[in-house]
Amino acid sequence: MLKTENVHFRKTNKNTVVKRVREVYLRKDIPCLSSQCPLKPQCHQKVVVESSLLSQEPQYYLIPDYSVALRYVELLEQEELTNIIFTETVLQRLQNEDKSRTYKSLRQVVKDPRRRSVVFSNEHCQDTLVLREVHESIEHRDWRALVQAARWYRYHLLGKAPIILLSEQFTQEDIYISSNMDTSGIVVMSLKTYLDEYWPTGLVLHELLGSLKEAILEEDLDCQNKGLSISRKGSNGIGYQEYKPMSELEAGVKSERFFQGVLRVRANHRDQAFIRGGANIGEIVIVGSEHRNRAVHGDMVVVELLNKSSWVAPSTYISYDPEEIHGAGDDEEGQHRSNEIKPTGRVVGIMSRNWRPYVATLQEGSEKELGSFHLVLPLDPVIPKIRIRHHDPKALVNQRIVVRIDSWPSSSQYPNGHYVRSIGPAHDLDTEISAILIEHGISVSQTTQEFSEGSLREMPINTSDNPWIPEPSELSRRRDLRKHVIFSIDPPNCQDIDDAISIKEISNGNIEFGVHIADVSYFVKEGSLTDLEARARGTTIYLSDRRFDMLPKVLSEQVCSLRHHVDRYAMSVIWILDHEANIIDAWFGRSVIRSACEMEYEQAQGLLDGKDVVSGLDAKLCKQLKPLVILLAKTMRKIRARRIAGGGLELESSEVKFKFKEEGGGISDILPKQSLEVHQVIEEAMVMANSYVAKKIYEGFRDSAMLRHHPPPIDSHFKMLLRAAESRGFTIDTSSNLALANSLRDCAAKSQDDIEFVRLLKTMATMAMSEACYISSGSKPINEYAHYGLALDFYTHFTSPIRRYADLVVHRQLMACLKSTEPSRSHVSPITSDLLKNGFKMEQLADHLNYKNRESKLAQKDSTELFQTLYVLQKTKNPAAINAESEAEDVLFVETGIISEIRENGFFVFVPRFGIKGPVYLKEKSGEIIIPLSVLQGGKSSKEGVDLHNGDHLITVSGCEMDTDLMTQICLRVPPQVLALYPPGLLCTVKFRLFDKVRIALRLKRSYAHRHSIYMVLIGLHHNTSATPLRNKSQMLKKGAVGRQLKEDEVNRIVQQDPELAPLSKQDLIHLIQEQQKQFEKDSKIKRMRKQPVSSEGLYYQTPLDDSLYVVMESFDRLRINEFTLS
Amino acid sequence: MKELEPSTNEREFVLAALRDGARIDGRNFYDFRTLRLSFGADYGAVEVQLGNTRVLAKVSCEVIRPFPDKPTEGFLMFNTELSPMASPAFEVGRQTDEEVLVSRLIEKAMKRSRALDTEGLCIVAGEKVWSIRVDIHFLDHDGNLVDAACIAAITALQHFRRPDVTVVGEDVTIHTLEQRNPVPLSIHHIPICVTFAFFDNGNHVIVDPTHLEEQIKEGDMTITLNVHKEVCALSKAGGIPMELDQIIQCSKIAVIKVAEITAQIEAALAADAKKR
Repeated sequence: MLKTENVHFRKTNKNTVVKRVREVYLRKDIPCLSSQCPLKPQCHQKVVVESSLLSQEPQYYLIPDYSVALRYVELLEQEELTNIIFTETVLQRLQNEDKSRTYKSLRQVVKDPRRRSVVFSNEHCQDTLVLREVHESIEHRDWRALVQAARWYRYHLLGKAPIILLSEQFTQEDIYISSNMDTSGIVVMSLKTYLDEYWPTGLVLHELLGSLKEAILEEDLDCQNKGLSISRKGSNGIGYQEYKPMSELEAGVKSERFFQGVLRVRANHRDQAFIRGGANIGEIVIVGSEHRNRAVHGDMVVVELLNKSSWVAPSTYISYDPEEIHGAGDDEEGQHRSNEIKPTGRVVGIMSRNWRPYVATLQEGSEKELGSFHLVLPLDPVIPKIRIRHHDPKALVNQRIVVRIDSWPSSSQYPNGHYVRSIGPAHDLDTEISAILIEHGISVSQTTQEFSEGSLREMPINTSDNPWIPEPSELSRRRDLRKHVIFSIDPPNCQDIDDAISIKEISNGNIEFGVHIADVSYFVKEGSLTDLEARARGTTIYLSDRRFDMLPKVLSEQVCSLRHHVDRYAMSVIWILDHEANIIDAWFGRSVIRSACEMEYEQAQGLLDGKDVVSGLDAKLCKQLKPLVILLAKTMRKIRARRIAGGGLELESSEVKFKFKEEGGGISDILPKQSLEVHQVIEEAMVMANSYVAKKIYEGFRDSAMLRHHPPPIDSHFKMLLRAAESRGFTIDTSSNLALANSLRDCAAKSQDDIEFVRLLKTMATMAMSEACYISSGSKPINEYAHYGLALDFYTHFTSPIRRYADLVVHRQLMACLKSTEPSRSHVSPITSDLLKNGFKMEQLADHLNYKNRESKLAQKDSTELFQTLYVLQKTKNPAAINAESEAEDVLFVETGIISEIRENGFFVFVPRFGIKGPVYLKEKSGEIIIPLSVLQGGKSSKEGVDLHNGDHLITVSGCEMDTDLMTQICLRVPPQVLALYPPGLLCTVKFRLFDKVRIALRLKRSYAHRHSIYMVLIGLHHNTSATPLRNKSQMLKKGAVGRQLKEDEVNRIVQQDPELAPLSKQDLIHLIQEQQKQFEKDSKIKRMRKQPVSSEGLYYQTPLDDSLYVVMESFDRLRINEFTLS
Repeated sequence: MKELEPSTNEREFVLAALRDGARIDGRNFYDFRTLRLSFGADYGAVEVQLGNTRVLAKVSCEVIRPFPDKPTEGFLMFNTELSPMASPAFEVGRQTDEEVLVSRLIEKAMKRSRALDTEGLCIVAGEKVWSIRVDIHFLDHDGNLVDAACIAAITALQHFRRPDVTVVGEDVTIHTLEQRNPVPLSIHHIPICVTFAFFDNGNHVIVDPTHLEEQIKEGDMTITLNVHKEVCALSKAGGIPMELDQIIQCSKIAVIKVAEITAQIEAALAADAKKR
C-alpha cells in the first residue's frame, strides 16, 4: 500500500484559512466492478464489495464529470441511462462543496441494481490517482483525474467498451491537452450531443434537458448578481487588516499623522463609532466594521484619517431597531450635528484593550446548531457579537450569561470569548438587576453585600445586648454637643443618616447654626482593608428597589448613622451667623452628638407649614422643633437668595420613584420625585457646609485638595434648549450662569400656566450641563475650581461620608488641616500624610471616583428604565393572557405626553407622569406613513388654531389618499422643528410641534436578547378643553379605520379605558386583573396540593423516625461506642 | 489481607431476614442509613457519615495552564484512595477492582454529568484556568462507599469557595481571602448516587447496603440522578441479570431518595452558612 499526502487549504465559514493535510493510502486492488472484467477471477471477487455491477455487454460506459453531476442530477436519475461510472473525484467534490442532496441522489442511482451503475474509487487507486500540480485549478485536475479513470477502464477492460465522458465544461480537444497518452475509445460529449446521438427519440429526456438548461441559465444570472456583492464583501470577508506595529503607531501619533483616542460606539447607530481626536481635529467618525477593524467600544485606538472624499455625515433618523433606541435619549449631539460632514477615519492599531466582562444572551436558535462554538449577543448594543465555546448550549438558552472577550484574530469576523457564568433567566427581575450591576463594573463583592472577614474584624461591635458606646478617652478629645438640640431630616425609612442639623438663636440676634456629619473617618482608618474596599467601591449604589452599600452595615446603618437618642461621633461645622445670615465665625471639628429626632421630609414640611403636630412625632417634640425648623428655613432662604443672585441655577430632572406592592413584588405606581421647600432648605445647608469645608481644605492642601468641579457647559449643547425656547417665542441667554438662570426664570414666569413646559425646559437645561467631577486642586489652575451650577468658587463633597468615598477623603483632609493648625498637636499623624498630600495620587483617586460615580448613576438610570418597562408590562398585560399564557393582544395603556424632540421620521414623547421618554414613529421602516385617522380629524376641528408661522421648518407629508394607506413622499428642508402632515382629502394640515401635547399608548417592544423597551403609538392629539362631547368622540373613534394600526376591538378597548370616555373603567380593569391573579394563584395552590404523592410512591420514602427500628438499633450502637470510650 | 467471607450462618440469617421483609439493622428495604454531614473549618472540607461508613472530602484549587485544544476549560480532578484505615481488606499501593470501580463511578457521576461548570473556571482563555481537585478519603468502610463518597464530593464542591479574581485588560489579580470574600463554584446540578443490592434473583431489592449485605448480595446497581430526574450515570457491573421493570422500579425509588438527600445536603449547607 502506498501513501501520499493530500494537502489543501480551506476557508471555513468563519473566514479563517485552515491548512489540511490528509494521508491517502493507495491500493492496487480497487475493483472495476464490471461483469466484463477479463481477469480470472474477476477483480471484484477478490475484495468484498457490495455493489451492482456494470452490465456484461454494454454499448458504452458513461462517466459524468462534476459539471454534469452537479447540475443534471435529474437527468442522471432517469432510468433509461444505465452503466454510469461515478468517480470518487466527482462524489468527493460534491461533498466538499456541501451538495449533500445531489450526492444522496447519485448514491441512490448506484443503489438501484437495474441501473447497473457503480462508484469507482479512483482517488484511492494507485493507477488512477492524479496529483494536483502547482497553480493548477481544481477543475482541471479533476478533469485529468477523470480522463485517467476513463483510460484505466479502457485499458483494464481491454478496450471492450467505448467510454463516454459526459461534460458540459470540456470537449474532445481537452483530452489531448491534458494527457498526450493514448486516449482512443474515449469520447467526450456534452449531454446534448449524447442525447442526440443515443436517444434521438427519447422525448422525455430531451425535454428534461431543455428545462434543466433554462433553470441553470437563470441560476447563473442570479449568481452573477450575487457574485458581485460577494466579491465586494470578499474584500473584508477575507479578514481584517493587521494592526500596524506599535513603534509606527507611537511615531504616527506624535507626528499627528494618526490620532489616538478612546473608541466610542454610538448606541443608536451601531455602525458608527467615533473618537475624540484632540483639539485641532475634534471628533473623528469611524463607519462600518471594516474601518473599525476589531476595535471594541472603550478600547484605546489609533486612527488614520481617510481621504476627504470619503468623509461622511452621521444620520439623524430615530432608529427602528429596538435595541438601538435604547440609548437614543442621551444622544442629542447626534441630532444637531446632522448634515455636517465629519472627519472620517479607520483604526490602524490598538494601544490598549479595555475589555471587561459583558452580559450577553445566546443568539436565538443557536442551541440547535451543532458544534461547540456559539454566538452570543451582548446586552450592551455597542458591543459586537462574541463567539464563545460551550459544550451545552441548551443550558444557556434564554439565560443571561457573563462572557469575556479573549482575542480577536484578524481572520475572524467576531471576537473570541469564553463563558464565565450564568446570571439567571433573561427578563427575570433579579437577573436583570445583576446584569445592570455587571454591565456597570460594580464588583461582585459589592453586589453580594458582603465584606471580607478581615475587614469585618476591623468593625466596632454593636449588638442589641452590647450596644456601641463612645469611649471615654475619645470623648475628652471631642467637643461635647450632646446638650444641643440636633435633628436630622431625611426621606422616610432612611437607614444611613449622614447629616444632622442644629440651630439656635444666641445673644444679640445672632444664630448658631451647625451641620453635623457622621464621623466615618474615625472608624475607617486609611489603608485598612475596609478603606481599600470602600475606595474600590467608591460609592453606595441606589437602585430603584435596593441599595448596595459602600461600607459594612454595622457602620452605615448603626455606628456611623446619626440615629436619634444615641451618642454618635460627628464632624461638625458650626457657624455664628448674624441676623442677615452673614457669617461671623466658623468652627470645624470632631464632636459627639445625640440626635433628638429623625424627621422625615414630610413631617418637617408640615412643621414649616405651621402645623403644630405632625403624624409620627409626639406633640412635645413638635413644639420644640417647630420654631427651629422655621428659623432654619428663614436663614436658608436668605443664603439661597444670595447664592442665586450670584448665578446659581435652579434646575430640574425627570427623576421618578417607584412604589412597590406590599406582597407579590409588583410596582403599584410610579411617582415623580416631589420637591418640597424642606428639600431646598436641607440642600442649601449642605451646600453651605460643603463650600466652607472646600475652602478650608484648599488652604491646607494647595496641591491635593479633593474638590468638586463643575465646568461651564459647552455652547453647542444648548442648541436644543435654545430651539425649544424659540418655538415658544422665548430667547435664552447662555453667556453665563447668571444670565441663564435669569432667562430661565423669565420663561417660567411668562408661562406659569404650562408647568410641564417649564419643567421640560429646565430638564433640557440640565441635560446641556457638563458633568460635575472631582478634581485634585493641584491638577487644575485655581480659576477652574468653580462650580458653575451652584455658582460657588470652591465646592467639595463633605456631607455624605457613609455613601461617598470622596467625602471620606475630604474628612481626612479636614482633620489633617485642623490638627496642623492646632498648636498642641502640631504633628500630622503618620498614616494620613502620604495619599492626602500627594497631588498626583489624589488626581488618580479623583478619576477613579468620577468613574465609579458615573457608572453608579448609569446603573441607577438603567434600573429606573427597567422598572418603567416592568410597569408598562404590568399595565399592558391582557388579563385574558394570564390564564392562557398565550400572546394575547395587549391592553392599551393610554397616557398624555409632550413632544420633546422631533426627528425626520417621528418624534420623542416625554410622559411627565412616569418620567418615560420614548419614540413615536410616523413613518414606518418601509416608508409608509402611519397616522391614526382620529388625528387628522382632530386636526380639522382645531383648524383655526393652526398657523403656519415658520414655513421653512416643515416636513411635508403629502399626497396620501384617505381610503388606502397614507402613502407619500417626504421632503425635508431644515433640521425640523415642526412635523406636518398634508392629507389632501382635508383642507388642513396636522402639525406636531415641540411641546405639543399628544395622547399616546405606551407599548412594550419585546426583545429576545436585550431588555424590553418602551415605544409609543400615537392615539390622538391632546384636547385641553374637551369641547367635543363625549359621545361624539367615542363615535369618532369607533368609526374604525383609525389609521392602519388600531383595529376595531382595540379602539373599543381604548374607549373602555380612556378615562375621559369611561372614567371608572380603568380602575375596574386593574381591579379585575388583580382579582383574577389572586384567583389564579389560589387555583394553582390547590393544584399543588393535589400533586402531593399518593400512597403507591409513598412506599419509597424514608421511614419516619418513630416507625424505624433502625433508629433504635443505631442509638444502641452509639451508646455502646460512648461506653467504650468512657471506660 | 483477604477479606473474610461471612459465615454460612450469618449469610442464612441475613437472607432469611430479608425474606421476612426485614434487614438486620432494623431498616426498611428502601431506607438509607442516617446521613450526617459535618463541615471543617476551611471551605470545602466535608465529612459524611452514612451509618458507620465515613468519608472525608477536601477540595483545593490552583491556577494552571489549560490544554491547548480546550483553552476555556478548567479542570476537575478526583483522587480516591482506599487505605487500610477504612478496612483492613484494603492495601496500600495495590488497587483492587473495587477501588477502581468506586473511583471510576465517582468520576463518571460528577465529571461526565458536568455537574461542575468547568467553563466557568476559565480566567484567561488559553492562559490560566482553575484546577479543582477533590481528595476523597475513606475513613470507615461499612458498605456503600460510592454513595457516601458521591455525597461527600458534591457537598464539598458546593461548600468550597475559590479566591476571587479580577481581570482588567490582561492583568489578573487573585485576591487573598483577607481582601475579598472568596466565591463559590458554579454548580449546574447535584448528582446523587443511589446503590441497590439484589438478593434471591432480584426478588429482594434493598437500598444502601451495609458491608455485610454487600458481601452476601447477588448483584448491585448504582443509579446516579439529580433532582430534575435526569439520569447522570447508571452502573451495573456484573451480578445477576435484571428485568426492565426492575430497573424502572429502582429508578423510581432513586428519584425519591435523591430528593431526600439533596434536601438534606442543602439544609446542612444552609445551616453551616448561617454559622459562619
